[in-house]
Amino acid sequence: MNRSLVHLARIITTAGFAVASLSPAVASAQRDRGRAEQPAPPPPLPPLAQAEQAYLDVDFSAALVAAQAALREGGHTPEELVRIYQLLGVCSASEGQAERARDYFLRMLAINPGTDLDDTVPPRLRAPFLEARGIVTARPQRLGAEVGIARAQSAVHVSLVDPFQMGQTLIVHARIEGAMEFTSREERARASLDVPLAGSDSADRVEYWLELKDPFGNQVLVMGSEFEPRVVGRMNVAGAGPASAAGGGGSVLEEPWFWIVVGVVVVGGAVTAGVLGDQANRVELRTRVRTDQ
Amino acid sequence: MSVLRPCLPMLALSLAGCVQTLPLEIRFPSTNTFLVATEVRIRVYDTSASSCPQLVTAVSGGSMASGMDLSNETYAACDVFRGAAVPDPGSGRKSVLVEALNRNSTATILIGCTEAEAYPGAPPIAVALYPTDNYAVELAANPPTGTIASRCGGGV
Repeated sequence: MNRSLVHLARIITTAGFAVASLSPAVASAQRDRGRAEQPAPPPPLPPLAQAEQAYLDVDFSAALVAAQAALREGGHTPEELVRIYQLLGVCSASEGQAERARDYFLRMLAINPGTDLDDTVPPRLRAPFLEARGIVTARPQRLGAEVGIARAQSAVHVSLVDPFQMGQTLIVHARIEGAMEFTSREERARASLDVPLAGSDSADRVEYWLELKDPFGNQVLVMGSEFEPRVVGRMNVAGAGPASAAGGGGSVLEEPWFWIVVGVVVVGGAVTAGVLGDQANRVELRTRVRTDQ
Repeated sequence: MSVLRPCLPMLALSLAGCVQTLPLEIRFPSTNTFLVATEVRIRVYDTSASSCPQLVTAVSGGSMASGMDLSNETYAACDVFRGAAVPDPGSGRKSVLVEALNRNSTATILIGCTEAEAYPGAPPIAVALYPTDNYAVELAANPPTGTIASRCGGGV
């Protein structure tokens, strides 16, 4: 009986030591499990979202810093870039940097001249915006590009208009209509440039889309897209198939309003010509008297 | 419409400027014959319907059918002298019948007719007038006095 009790006591002791030796590992596992169950900290907001949040919190200085970070971050679409410049403009104005604010607003309006400030912007912050709008309105040129086929050079010709010289890089994606892949070419932005495209000298039509990017890689201007490219070249009046199906720059001859305008012009011209012709043929007799003696 | 409104006067001017003037020269046998005449009637007919011989004969015989004329205007002699506007006779060859009337505008004392076509750049239309039997009667009843200038305020 005593031997049994002693044996039992040893077993309990051994088990106690074992439990004691395991407890740190168990505790550690429990800690790990506890950590795993806690929600992960949210990822940091992108700079533009931070700027928006700070702007909503009426923390203009923080919004300004975040918007500048968003600008430098690059990779933004024209719509986002407009918003970034808008935030920069408003926040700079609120910080008393009127000239800088005007510059930001200039860039904003250069991308989208129709942009306006929302009603929450107080009047005292609007002066730089109004000044910028006056400057932009006074300039006849608008940011844009005209694209044609330079058949002699077997190239796509781009005439770029960038009144405020915001674009640094022009990326032209072009392909012969019907081809699968676009040929992309990156060029330093300038007023006129030819982007070589094999086969364009004999092609009826070329599909393209282009991007103009600022020094940070933000898109200042985008025309067309990979999925909706624009079309340039000889237009097929009777059966504009792929061009119109692509939806980017189909022939204007397909538009009902075009024919309405043509009809109005032709009828108006005919009536005017008829009236003028009739008037031109009108003769008024005017008497005069002669006496022979 | 409001946009077009400012353009209308200019358009009207430009259209009005397109009407060309063609002289209708009325030749009186003498100054006295002009001074005897009180009024001048100018009628235009379509040549295919009424030739000049037919018209002159009809007037002389007093059987002028009404309603055949394309235009029928009567002017004071001095207005004709100063330059009266005669409506556009229209395209095609026309018979232009001119009559000088007596003081009461009841009798033709001088008559003339010519066939011509009026069109821009056409030569002047000349109508020579000749006395009718009524002229002598009118001359006796109302002999002319003064000159054309004293009567109409200008020289020939």
